[in-house]
Amino acid sequence: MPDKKRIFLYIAILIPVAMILVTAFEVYFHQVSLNPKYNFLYILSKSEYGAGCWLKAKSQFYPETSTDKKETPQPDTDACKTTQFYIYDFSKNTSTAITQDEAKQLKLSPAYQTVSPDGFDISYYCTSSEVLDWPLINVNNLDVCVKKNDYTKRLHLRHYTTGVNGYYNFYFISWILNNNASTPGK
Amino acid sequence: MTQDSSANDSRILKIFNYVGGTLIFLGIAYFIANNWSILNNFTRIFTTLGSAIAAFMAGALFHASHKYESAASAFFMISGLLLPIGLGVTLIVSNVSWGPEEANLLIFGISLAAFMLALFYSPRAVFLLFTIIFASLFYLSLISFLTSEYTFYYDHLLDYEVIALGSGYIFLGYYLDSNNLPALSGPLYFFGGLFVLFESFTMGSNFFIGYNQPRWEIVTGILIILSFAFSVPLKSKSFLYLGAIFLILYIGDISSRFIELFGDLGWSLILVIMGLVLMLIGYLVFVIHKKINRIKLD
Repeated sequence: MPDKKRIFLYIAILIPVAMILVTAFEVYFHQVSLNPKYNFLYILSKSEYGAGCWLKAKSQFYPETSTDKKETPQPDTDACKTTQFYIYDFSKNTSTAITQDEAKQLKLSPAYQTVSPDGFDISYYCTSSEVLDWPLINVNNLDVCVKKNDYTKRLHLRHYTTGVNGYYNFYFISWILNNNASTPGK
Repeated sequence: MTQDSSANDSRILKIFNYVGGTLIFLGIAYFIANNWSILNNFTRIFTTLGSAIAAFMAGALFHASHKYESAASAFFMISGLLLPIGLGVTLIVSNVSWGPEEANLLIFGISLAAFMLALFYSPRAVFLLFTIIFASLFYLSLISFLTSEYTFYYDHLLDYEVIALGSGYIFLGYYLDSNNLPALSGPLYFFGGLFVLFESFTMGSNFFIGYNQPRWEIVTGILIILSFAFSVPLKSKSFLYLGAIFLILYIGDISSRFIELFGDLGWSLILVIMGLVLMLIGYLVFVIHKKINRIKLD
Protein backbone atom coordinates (compact mmCIF):
# COMPACT_ATOMS: atom_id res chain seq x y z
CA MET A 1 0.00 0.00 0.00
CA PRO A 2 2.73 2.55 0.83
CA ASP A 3 4.27 1.91 -2.61
CA LYS A 4 0.89 2.55 -4.22
CA LYS A 5 0.73 5.93 -2.48
CA ARG A 6 4.25 6.73 -3.57
CA ILE A 7 2.98 7.04 -7.13
CA PHE A 8 1.52 10.44 -6.16
CA LEU A 9 4.96 11.61 -5.10
CA TYR A 10 6.38 10.51 -8.45
CA ILE A 11 3.57 12.30 -10.31
CA ALA A 12 4.22 15.45 -8.23
CA ILE A 13 7.87 15.39 -9.32
CA LEU A 14 7.19 14.27 -12.88
CA ILE A 15 4.78 17.12 -13.76
CA PRO A 16 7.37 19.94 -13.36
CA VAL A 17 10.06 17.70 -14.90
CA ALA A 18 7.79 17.13 -17.93
CA MET A 19 7.23 20.90 -18.17
CA ILE A 20 11.00 21.48 -18.17
CA LEU A 21 11.52 18.81 -20.86
CA VAL A 22 8.71 20.17 -23.05
CA THR A 23 10.16 23.69 -22.75
CA ALA A 24 13.67 22.41 -23.57
CA PHE A 25 12.36 20.59 -26.68
CA GLU A 26 10.35 23.63 -27.73
CA VAL A 27 13.40 25.87 -27.37
CA TYR A 28 15.54 23.37 -29.26
CA PHE A 29 13.14 22.99 -32.17
CA HIS A 30 12.26 26.66 -32.38
CA GLN A 31 15.85 27.75 -32.04
CA VAL A 32 17.03 29.96 -34.84
CA SER A 33 20.30 31.77 -35.29
CA LEU A 34 19.78 35.48 -35.25
CA ASN A 35 22.80 36.95 -37.00
CA PRO A 36 22.10 40.44 -38.30
CA LYS A 37 24.42 41.56 -41.09
CA TYR A 38 24.46 45.11 -39.85
CA ASN A 39 26.00 46.36 -36.63
CA PHE A 40 24.50 49.25 -34.73
CA LEU A 41 25.58 52.43 -33.04
CA TYR A 42 24.36 53.28 -29.56
CA ILE A 43 25.14 55.51 -26.63
CA LEU A 44 25.35 54.91 -22.92
CA SER A 45 24.42 57.95 -20.91
CA LYS A 46 24.70 58.34 -17.18
CA SER A 47 23.00 61.69 -17.19
CA GLU A 48 19.58 62.19 -15.67
CA TYR A 49 18.78 63.96 -18.93
CA GLY A 50 19.42 60.65 -20.76
CA ALA A 51 16.69 61.20 -23.32
CA GLY A 52 17.92 64.78 -23.94
CA CYS A 53 21.48 63.52 -24.43
CA TRP A 54 20.18 60.89 -26.83
CA LEU A 55 18.40 63.56 -28.91
CA LYS A 56 21.52 65.71 -28.80
CA ALA A 57 23.71 62.81 -29.94
CA LYS A 58 21.25 61.94 -32.70
CA SER A 59 21.08 65.52 -33.95
CA GLN A 60 24.79 65.35 -34.78
CA PHE A 61 24.08 62.64 -37.34
CA TYR A 62 20.69 63.83 -38.51
CA PRO A 63 20.75 67.65 -38.32
CA GLU A 64 17.91 67.98 -40.81
CA THR A 65 15.48 66.10 -38.53
CA SER A 66 16.16 68.10 -35.39
CA THR A 67 13.61 70.84 -36.18
CA ASP A 68 11.77 70.51 -32.89
CA LYS A 69 14.63 71.85 -30.79
CA LYS A 70 12.36 74.13 -28.81
CA GLU A 71 10.10 71.28 -27.74
CA THR A 72 12.77 68.79 -26.70
CA PRO A 73 14.66 69.28 -23.43
CA GLN A 74 18.11 70.59 -24.23
CA PRO A 75 20.48 69.74 -21.41
CA ASP A 76 23.49 71.94 -20.82
CA THR A 77 26.82 70.74 -22.17
CA ASP A 78 28.03 69.32 -18.87
CA ALA A 79 24.97 67.12 -18.36
CA CYS A 80 25.84 64.99 -21.39
CA LYS A 81 29.55 64.78 -20.68
CA THR A 82 29.29 61.12 -19.67
CA THR A 83 27.69 60.13 -22.98
CA GLN A 84 29.82 57.54 -24.74
CA PHE A 85 29.36 56.11 -28.24
CA TYR A 86 29.62 52.37 -28.89
CA ILE A 87 29.38 50.01 -31.82
CA TYR A 88 27.82 46.61 -31.23
CA ASP A 89 29.54 44.04 -33.43
CA PHE A 90 27.28 41.04 -34.10
CA SER A 91 30.08 38.90 -35.56
CA LYS A 92 31.91 38.98 -32.22
CA ASN A 93 28.99 39.80 -29.94
CA THR A 94 31.00 42.58 -28.35
CA SER A 95 30.75 46.34 -27.90
CA THR A 96 33.54 48.75 -28.81
CA ALA A 97 33.75 52.29 -27.50
CA ILE A 98 34.39 54.90 -30.19
CA THR A 99 34.86 58.65 -30.22
CA GLN A 100 32.30 61.08 -31.55
CA ASP A 101 34.52 61.84 -34.56
CA GLU A 102 34.82 58.15 -35.40
CA ALA A 103 31.07 57.80 -35.11
CA LYS A 104 30.59 60.66 -37.59
CA GLN A 105 32.53 58.72 -40.23
CA LEU A 106 30.06 55.84 -40.17
CA LYS A 107 27.40 55.44 -42.79
CA LEU A 108 24.20 55.27 -40.82
CA SER A 109 20.68 54.19 -41.69
CA PRO A 110 18.11 56.98 -42.17
CA ALA A 111 16.80 58.80 -39.10
CA TYR A 112 13.92 57.08 -37.29
CA GLN A 113 14.62 53.79 -39.08
CA THR A 114 14.67 51.39 -36.19
CA VAL A 115 14.55 48.25 -38.32
CA SER A 116 17.76 47.16 -40.00
CA PRO A 117 17.81 46.57 -43.80
CA ASP A 118 17.71 42.81 -43.09
CA GLY A 119 14.67 43.14 -40.82
CA PHE A 120 16.07 43.21 -37.29
CA ASP A 121 14.95 45.48 -34.49
CA ILE A 122 16.51 46.40 -31.15
CA SER A 123 14.25 45.62 -28.23
CA TYR A 124 14.46 46.56 -24.56
CA TYR A 125 12.54 43.47 -23.47
CA CYS A 126 13.96 39.98 -23.65
CA THR A 127 12.58 36.92 -21.97
CA SER A 128 9.29 35.05 -22.01
CA SER A 129 9.53 33.95 -18.42
CA GLU A 130 10.27 36.76 -16.04
CA VAL A 131 9.29 35.52 -12.63
CA LEU A 132 12.77 35.68 -11.25
CA ASP A 133 14.80 38.62 -12.37
CA TRP A 134 16.10 38.88 -8.83
CA PRO A 135 18.83 39.25 -7.62
CA LEU A 136 21.31 40.56 -10.16
CA ILE A 137 18.99 43.03 -11.79
CA ASN A 138 21.12 45.99 -10.74
CA VAL A 139 24.39 44.41 -11.71
CA ASN A 140 23.85 42.79 -15.05
CA ASN A 141 20.77 44.15 -16.59
CA LEU A 142 21.20 42.29 -19.84
CA ASP A 143 17.92 43.59 -21.14
CA VAL A 144 18.81 44.67 -24.65
CA CYS A 145 17.84 42.21 -27.36
CA VAL A 146 17.85 41.96 -31.11
CA LYS A 147 14.48 40.90 -32.43
CA LYS A 148 13.06 39.56 -35.66
CA ASN A 149 9.42 38.47 -35.90
CA ASP A 150 8.78 36.40 -32.76
CA TYR A 151 12.43 35.60 -32.11
CA THR A 152 14.69 37.44 -29.74
CA LYS A 153 18.35 37.14 -28.86
CA ARG A 154 19.86 38.75 -25.81
CA LEU A 155 22.88 40.91 -26.49
CA HIS A 156 25.98 40.87 -24.35
CA LEU A 157 25.54 44.49 -23.60
CA ARG A 158 26.06 45.34 -19.99
CA HIS A 159 25.09 48.86 -19.13
CA TYR A 160 24.54 48.67 -15.41
CA THR A 161 27.59 48.64 -13.18
CA THR A 162 28.06 48.56 -9.45
CA GLY A 163 29.96 50.99 -7.26
CA VAL A 164 30.63 54.63 -7.93
CA ASN A 165 30.05 54.34 -11.67
CA GLY A 166 26.32 53.87 -11.19
CA TYR A 167 24.17 52.82 -14.10
CA TYR A 168 24.12 54.01 -17.67
CA ASN A 169 21.06 54.25 -19.83
CA PHE A 170 21.16 52.53 -23.17
CA TYR A 171 19.95 54.43 -26.25
CA PHE A 172 19.91 53.10 -29.78
CA ILE A 173 21.18 55.59 -32.38
CA SER A 174 21.27 53.85 -35.73
CA TRP A 175 22.13 50.82 -37.81
CA ILE A 176 25.54 50.98 -39.48
CA LEU A 177 25.37 50.39 -43.21
CA ASN A 178 29.13 50.16 -43.85
CA ASN A 179 30.16 47.34 -41.53
CA ASN A 180 33.84 47.43 -42.46
CA ALA A 181 34.02 50.60 -40.36
CA SER A 182 32.83 48.67 -37.29
CA THR A 183 36.25 48.27 -35.71
CA PRO A 184 37.81 51.69 -35.62
CA GLY A 185 41.52 51.91 -35.26
CA LYS A 186 42.15 48.82 -37.39
CA MET B 1 -5.96 16.68 29.86
CA THR B 2 -2.27 16.89 30.82
CA GLN B 3 -1.32 15.72 27.35
CA ASP B 4 -3.51 18.43 25.79
CA SER B 5 -1.95 21.23 27.84
CA SER B 6 1.54 19.90 27.08
CA ALA B 7 0.73 19.90 23.34
CA ASN B 8 -0.61 23.45 23.64
CA ASP B 9 2.53 24.61 25.47
CA SER B 10 4.68 23.02 22.78
CA ARG B 11 2.67 24.76 20.06
CA ILE B 12 2.99 28.13 21.82
CA LEU B 13 6.73 27.58 22.20
CA LYS B 14 7.00 26.78 18.49
CA ILE B 15 5.06 29.92 17.55
CA PHE B 16 7.31 32.08 19.75
CA ASN B 17 10.41 30.47 18.24
CA TYR B 18 9.23 31.05 14.68
CA VAL B 19 8.22 34.65 15.41
CA GLY B 20 11.63 35.18 17.06
CA GLY B 21 13.34 33.64 14.03
CA THR B 22 11.41 35.90 11.67
CA LEU B 23 12.37 38.96 13.72
CA ILE B 24 16.05 37.95 13.63
CA PHE B 25 15.81 37.58 9.85
CA LEU B 26 14.10 40.97 9.49
CA GLY B 27 16.73 42.56 11.73
CA ILE B 28 19.58 41.23 9.59
CA ALA B 29 17.79 42.19 6.36
CA TYR B 30 17.12 45.73 7.64
CA PHE B 31 20.71 46.14 8.83
CA ILE B 32 22.10 45.14 5.44
CA ALA B 33 19.65 47.18 3.40
CA ASN B 34 20.20 50.24 5.55
CA ASN B 35 23.99 50.03 5.64
CA TRP B 36 24.72 48.48 2.24
CA SER B 37 26.79 51.41 0.99
CA ILE B 38 29.02 51.64 4.07
CA LEU B 39 29.65 47.90 4.48
CA ASN B 40 32.73 46.45 2.86
CA ASN B 41 32.49 43.34 0.71
CA PHE B 42 33.61 40.97 3.45
CA THR B 43 31.00 42.30 5.92
CA ARG B 44 28.30 42.06 3.26
CA ILE B 45 29.01 38.37 2.74
CA PHE B 46 29.69 37.70 6.41
CA THR B 47 26.36 39.15 7.59
CA THR B 48 24.28 37.30 5.01
CA LEU B 49 25.91 34.04 3.92
CA GLY B 50 27.87 33.82 7.17
CA SER B 51 24.70 34.28 9.23
CA ALA B 52 22.92 31.63 7.15
CA ILE B 53 25.69 29.09 7.81
CA ALA B 54 25.92 30.08 11.49
CA ALA B 55 22.12 29.75 11.92
CA PHE B 56 22.19 26.33 10.29
CA MET B 57 24.99 25.20 12.61
CA ALA B 58 23.14 26.57 15.65
CA GLY B 59 20.03 24.70 14.51
CA ALA B 60 22.05 21.49 14.12
CA LEU B 61 23.46 21.91 17.66
CA PHE B 62 20.00 22.50 19.16
CA HIS B 63 18.74 19.49 17.24
CA ALA B 64 21.60 17.34 18.54
CA SER B 65 20.88 18.39 22.14
CA HIS B 66 17.27 16.95 21.83
CA LYS B 67 16.24 19.48 24.47
CA TYR B 68 15.56 22.52 22.30
CA GLU B 69 13.97 20.89 19.25
CA SER B 70 11.61 23.76 18.48
CA ALA B 71 14.44 26.32 18.70
CA ALA B 72 16.33 24.17 16.16
CA SER B 73 13.47 24.58 13.66
CA ALA B 74 13.50 28.38 14.11
CA PHE B 75 17.24 28.52 13.41
CA PHE B 76 16.86 26.28 10.36
CA MET B 77 14.16 28.69 9.17
CA ILE B 78 16.52 31.69 9.56
CA SER B 79 19.14 29.75 7.61
CA GLY B 80 16.63 28.96 4.85
CA LEU B 81 15.62 32.61 4.54
CA LEU B 82 19.18 33.95 4.58
CA LEU B 83 20.90 31.37 2.37
CA PRO B 84 19.59 32.58 -1.04
CA ILE B 85 20.15 36.21 0.01
CA GLY B 86 23.70 35.38 1.12
CA LEU B 87 24.45 33.61 -2.15
CA GLY B 88 22.95 36.50 -4.12
CA VAL B 89 25.06 39.03 -2.19
CA THR B 90 28.17 36.89 -2.78
CA LEU B 91 27.50 36.93 -6.52
CA ILE B 92 26.90 40.68 -6.51
CA VAL B 93 30.11 41.30 -4.58
CA SER B 94 32.02 38.95 -6.90
CA ASN B 95 30.78 41.12 -9.78
CA VAL B 96 30.29 38.12 -12.05
CA SER B 97 29.13 38.87 -15.57
CA TRP B 98 26.12 36.56 -15.43
CA GLY B 99 22.56 37.17 -16.37
CA PRO B 100 19.84 36.85 -13.74
CA GLU B 101 18.88 33.39 -15.02
CA GLU B 102 22.32 31.87 -14.44
CA ALA B 103 22.59 33.54 -11.05
CA ASN B 104 19.15 32.34 -9.95
CA LEU B 105 19.92 28.84 -11.17
CA LEU B 106 23.07 28.71 -9.06
CA ILE B 107 21.51 30.31 -5.97
CA PHE B 108 18.44 28.10 -5.88
CA GLY B 109 20.39 25.02 -7.01
CA ILE B 110 22.78 25.33 -4.05
CA SER B 111 19.95 26.17 -1.62
CA LEU B 112 17.92 23.20 -2.86
CA ALA B 113 20.88 20.82 -2.59
CA ALA B 114 21.66 21.99 0.97
CA PHE B 115 18.10 21.58 2.25
CA MET B 116 17.48 18.34 0.35
CA LEU B 117 20.57 16.88 1.93
CA ALA B 118 19.40 18.07 5.35
CA LEU B 119 15.95 16.52 4.67
CA PHE B 120 17.61 13.27 3.69
CA TYR B 121 19.48 13.10 7.00
CA SER B 122 16.73 14.49 9.20
CA PRO B 123 13.14 14.43 7.90
CA ARG B 124 11.79 17.62 9.54
CA ALA B 125 8.89 19.75 8.33
CA VAL B 126 11.07 22.86 8.07
CA PHE B 127 13.52 21.07 5.74
CA LEU B 128 10.66 19.74 3.65
CA LEU B 129 9.14 23.24 3.46
CA PHE B 130 12.37 24.86 2.24
CA THR B 131 13.07 21.94 -0.11
CA ILE B 132 9.67 22.55 -1.73
CA ILE B 133 10.24 26.33 -1.88
CA PHE B 134 13.75 26.04 -3.35
CA ALA B 135 12.72 23.25 -5.74
CA SER B 136 9.91 25.51 -7.02
CA LEU B 137 12.27 28.47 -7.45
CA PHE B 138 14.87 26.24 -9.10
CA TYR B 139 12.22 24.95 -11.50
CA LEU B 140 11.17 28.51 -12.43
CA SER B 141 14.83 29.56 -12.79
CA LEU B 142 15.61 26.58 -15.01
CA ILE B 143 12.76 27.36 -17.41
CA SER B 144 13.75 31.02 -17.36
CA PHE B 145 17.33 29.97 -18.17
CA LEU B 146 16.23 27.65 -20.99
CA THR B 147 14.25 30.40 -22.67
CA SER B 148 16.69 33.24 -22.05
CA GLU B 149 19.06 32.86 -25.01
CA TYR B 150 18.06 32.52 -28.65
CA THR B 151 14.48 32.33 -27.70
CA PHE B 152 11.21 32.15 -29.46
CA TYR B 153 8.82 34.43 -27.64
CA TYR B 154 6.36 32.13 -25.89
CA ASP B 155 2.93 33.46 -25.06
CA HIS B 156 1.59 32.25 -21.73
CA LEU B 157 4.72 30.28 -20.86
CA LEU B 158 4.53 31.57 -17.32
CA ASP B 159 0.90 30.47 -17.02
CA TYR B 160 1.76 26.92 -18.07
CA GLU B 161 4.78 26.87 -15.74
CA VAL B 162 2.67 27.85 -12.77
CA ILE B 163 -0.14 25.41 -13.65
CA ALA B 164 2.42 22.57 -13.78
CA LEU B 165 3.85 23.70 -10.45
CA GLY B 166 0.39 23.93 -8.86
CA SER B 167 -0.54 20.44 -10.10
CA GLY B 168 2.70 19.12 -8.60
CA TYR B 169 1.79 20.75 -5.26
CA ILE B 170 -1.64 19.09 -5.23
CA PHE B 171 -0.19 15.62 -5.85
CA LEU B 172 2.54 16.20 -3.28
CA GLY B 173 -0.06 17.42 -0.79
CA TYR B 174 -2.08 14.27 -1.34
CA TYR B 175 1.00 12.09 -0.91
CA LEU B 176 1.90 13.81 2.37
CA ASP B 177 -1.70 13.65 3.61
CA SER B 178 -2.03 9.96 2.84
CA ASN B 179 1.28 9.26 4.59
CA ASN B 180 0.09 10.93 7.79
CA LEU B 181 2.24 14.03 7.27
CA PRO B 182 -0.55 16.60 7.18
CA ALA B 183 1.50 19.61 8.36
CA LEU B 184 2.26 20.78 4.82
CA SER B 185 -0.59 19.18 2.88
CA GLY B 186 -2.98 22.06 3.69
CA PRO B 187 -0.69 24.83 2.37
CA LEU B 188 0.19 22.64 -0.64
CA TYR B 189 -3.49 22.15 -1.48
CA PHE B 190 -4.09 25.88 -1.07
CA PHE B 191 -1.20 27.08 -3.24
CA GLY B 192 -1.65 24.22 -5.73
CA GLY B 193 -5.34 25.01 -6.16
CA LEU B 194 -4.68 28.75 -6.30
CA PHE B 195 -1.92 28.45 -8.93
CA VAL B 196 -3.95 26.15 -11.19
CA LEU B 197 -7.22 28.07 -10.93
CA PHE B 198 -5.65 31.53 -11.13
CA GLU B 199 -3.55 30.79 -14.23
CA SER B 200 -6.34 28.90 -15.93
CA PHE B 201 -8.70 31.81 -15.20
CA THR B 202 -6.07 34.29 -16.45
CA MET B 203 -5.93 32.53 -19.82
CA GLY B 204 -9.64 31.82 -20.07
CA SER B 205 -11.08 35.18 -19.05
CA ASN B 206 -11.23 38.72 -20.37
CA PHE B 207 -10.43 39.98 -16.90
CA PHE B 208 -6.62 40.15 -16.99
CA ILE B 209 -5.33 40.28 -20.54
CA GLY B 210 -8.36 41.66 -22.32
CA TYR B 211 -8.97 38.58 -24.46
CA ASN B 212 -9.64 34.98 -23.64
CA GLN B 213 -8.76 31.63 -25.07
CA PRO B 214 -12.06 29.73 -25.45
CA ARG B 215 -10.53 26.33 -24.65
CA TRP B 216 -9.19 27.68 -21.36
CA GLU B 217 -12.56 29.22 -20.60
CA ILE B 218 -14.03 25.69 -20.77
CA VAL B 219 -11.11 24.17 -18.83
CA THR B 220 -11.51 26.79 -16.07
CA GLY B 221 -15.17 25.85 -15.67
CA ILE B 222 -14.23 22.16 -15.39
CA LEU B 223 -11.43 22.93 -12.89
CA ILE B 224 -13.83 24.91 -10.69
CA ILE B 225 -16.26 21.97 -10.63
CA LEU B 226 -13.35 19.62 -9.85
CA SER B 227 -12.18 21.81 -6.97
CA PHE B 228 -15.65 21.47 -5.38
CA ALA B 229 -15.75 17.76 -6.14
CA PHE B 230 -12.33 17.05 -4.65
CA SER B 231 -12.76 19.20 -1.57
CA VAL B 232 -14.73 16.44 0.21
CA PRO B 233 -12.55 13.36 -0.48
CA LEU B 234 -9.37 15.41 0.10
CA LYS B 235 -10.91 17.05 3.18
CA SER B 236 -9.61 20.35 1.86
CA LYS B 237 -11.38 23.57 2.79
CA SER B 238 -8.87 25.41 0.57
CA PHE B 239 -10.34 23.70 -2.51
CA LEU B 240 -13.82 24.57 -1.35
CA TYR B 241 -13.16 28.28 -0.77
CA LEU B 242 -10.96 28.66 -3.86
CA GLY B 243 -13.65 26.96 -5.93
CA ALA B 244 -16.26 29.38 -4.53
CA ILE B 245 -14.12 32.49 -5.16
CA PHE B 246 -13.21 31.48 -8.70
CA LEU B 247 -16.80 30.47 -9.46
CA ILE B 248 -17.94 34.01 -8.61
CA LEU B 249 -15.13 35.49 -10.75
CA TYR B 250 -15.88 33.06 -13.57
CA ILE B 251 -19.58 33.82 -13.65
CA GLY B 252 -18.81 37.55 -13.46
CA ASP B 253 -16.50 37.15 -16.43
CA ILE B 254 -18.77 35.09 -18.65
CA SER B 255 -21.76 37.26 -17.76
CA SER B 256 -20.30 39.98 -20.00
CA ARG B 257 -21.76 37.87 -22.81
CA PHE B 258 -25.23 38.85 -21.63
CA ILE B 259 -24.54 42.42 -22.68
CA GLU B 260 -23.72 41.20 -26.19
CA LEU B 261 -26.95 39.20 -26.25
CA PHE B 262 -29.41 41.44 -24.43
CA GLY B 263 -27.94 44.91 -24.84
CA ASP B 264 -28.76 47.32 -21.98
CA LEU B 265 -31.01 44.74 -20.33
CA GLY B 266 -27.90 42.59 -19.89
CA TRP B 267 -26.68 44.62 -16.89
CA SER B 268 -29.80 44.06 -14.81
CA LEU B 269 -29.79 40.42 -15.85
CA ILE B 270 -26.16 40.10 -14.68
CA LEU B 271 -27.04 41.55 -11.27
CA VAL B 272 -30.02 39.22 -10.81
CA ILE B 273 -28.04 36.16 -11.88
CA MET B 274 -25.03 37.12 -9.75
CA GLY B 275 -27.29 37.55 -6.71
CA LEU B 276 -28.86 34.12 -7.21
CA VAL B 277 -25.48 32.51 -7.87
CA LEU B 278 -23.98 34.05 -4.72
CA MET B 279 -26.85 32.62 -2.64
CA LEU B 280 -26.39 29.22 -4.27
CA ILE B 281 -22.62 29.22 -3.75
CA GLY B 282 -23.06 30.26 -0.12
CA TYR B 283 -25.42 27.33 0.45
CA LEU B 284 -23.10 24.94 -1.43
CA VAL B 285 -20.07 26.02 0.63
CA PHE B 286 -22.06 25.66 3.85
CA VAL B 287 -23.16 22.10 3.00
CA ILE B 288 -19.72 20.95 1.81
CA HIS B 289 -18.01 22.59 4.78
CA LYS B 290 -20.26 20.63 7.14
CA LYS B 291 -19.53 17.42 5.24
CA ILE B 292 -15.73 17.97 5.45
CA ASN B 293 -15.95 18.62 9.21
CA ARG B 294 -17.99 15.45 9.67
CA ILE B 295 -15.42 13.37 7.73
CA LYS B 296 -12.57 14.87 9.77
CA LEU B 297 -14.37 14.03 13.03
CA ASP B 298 -14.98 10.44 11.88
